[in-house]
Amino acid sequence: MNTCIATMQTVNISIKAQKALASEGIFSKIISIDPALTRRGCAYGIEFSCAEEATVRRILRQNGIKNAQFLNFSGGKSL
Amino acid sequence: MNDRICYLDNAATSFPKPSAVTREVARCLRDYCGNAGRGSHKMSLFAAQKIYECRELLSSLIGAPSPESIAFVPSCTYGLNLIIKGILRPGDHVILSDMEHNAVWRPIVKLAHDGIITYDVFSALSQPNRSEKELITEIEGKIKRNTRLIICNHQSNICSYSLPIHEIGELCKNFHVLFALDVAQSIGHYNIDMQKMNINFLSAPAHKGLYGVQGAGFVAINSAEILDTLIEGGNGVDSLLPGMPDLSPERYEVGTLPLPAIVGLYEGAKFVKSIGVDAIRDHERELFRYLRDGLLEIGGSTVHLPEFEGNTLSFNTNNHSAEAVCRALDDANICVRGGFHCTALAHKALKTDNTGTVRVSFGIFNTKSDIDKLLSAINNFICK
Repeated sequence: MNTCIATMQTVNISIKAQKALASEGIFSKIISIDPALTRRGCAYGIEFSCAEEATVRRILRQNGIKNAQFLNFSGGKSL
Repeated sequence: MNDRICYLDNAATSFPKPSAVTREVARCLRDYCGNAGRGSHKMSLFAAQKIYECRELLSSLIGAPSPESIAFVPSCTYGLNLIIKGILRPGDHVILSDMEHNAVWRPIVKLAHDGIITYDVFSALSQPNRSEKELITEIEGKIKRNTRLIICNHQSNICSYSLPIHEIGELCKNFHVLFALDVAQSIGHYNIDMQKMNINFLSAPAHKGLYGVQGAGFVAINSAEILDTLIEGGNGVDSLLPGMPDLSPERYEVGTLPLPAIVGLYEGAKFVKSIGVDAIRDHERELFRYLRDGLLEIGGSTVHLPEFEGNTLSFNTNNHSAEAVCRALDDANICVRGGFHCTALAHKALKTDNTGTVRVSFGIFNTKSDIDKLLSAINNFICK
């Protein structure tokens, strides 16, 4: 699976995003992000199949989740 | 110890706790007590998910806008300080009731003493039998051009008198004044809906009507206002930046969150939801009536505001101090609280600021046999 990552500002937003995606049948994992990618420290992200990127963007937008950045490679350590 | 104890001090902290609370707190300490939002290993993430579940449950219980509008704080008092000091600015005016706990009164008095704000107090407990319309008219008359906040408790902590929150919220909305509510004595006993009642800020403890454990409380925010922080520090967000983030709840959650207390709160709130707030209140009112009528039958005592039935009853005996009555009851293994209950304003309003009162407060686990034991001990003491 070609994985994409949406970086999130906080673990709470990551959990909210994962729940929103799951409610529409999108599987995702919460991962830690390499601090070099965000320079935020303790940064989190949602990992999902790149095939779902457009849907993921829509769901996050509809749920008021402001993601910092979309990455199209596995830049984090999967949990 | 608790096999021998008749516990009637639920307004201070509820006891016993539901078995689900005790079990989950122990399970947390044993199995998953990681640090939420600090690092991203499995246990940290699991802790964060448990906390998020609690935010979801609490926000649905009180009609808060979203799970993120719930910020966990060390206590209800801390939450009230955060609201008061986070909102008020130099030159602001604030209105509070005459039955506030010191958790509201003292921070406001300090800000006023420091020359930062001014305040007015409206009559509530001192005129309990007037109409809601008269009460609202008085509050409206105290609103000034610079009034920024009305803050009050939902129910007194020394008797079962409560304020008409819906009407006060409507008044605040009409006058564009922020409305903050102290629900220390009402959460778990009254239905609360922040959005329908126009409550902008609310502070609650975990360990009273929600049957959690000490060490946690929460603030709920139903406003676009960003509160100033009370303290600053680490929260796992934007760690390389010097300032606190604007995001709720992280802005207000500084330092490690008390996970065992939060999962206990979650189970306690689930317990309350499963029984139903109305059923809990009905049970407590029945105990109130049973005690009130029993005291009146014994004679030799004064029940304060006996017509306001609920989870809390205050009384004084005619010939003994409140503290003496409490000591005698403690000797009989009955836990009640005497004195001034951290509320100078309310005791002044009740005209008990020289004597204090004996406060009896019920919970869902109390029964009429507890009240029988209490009445018997009071009768023995008075007739001694």
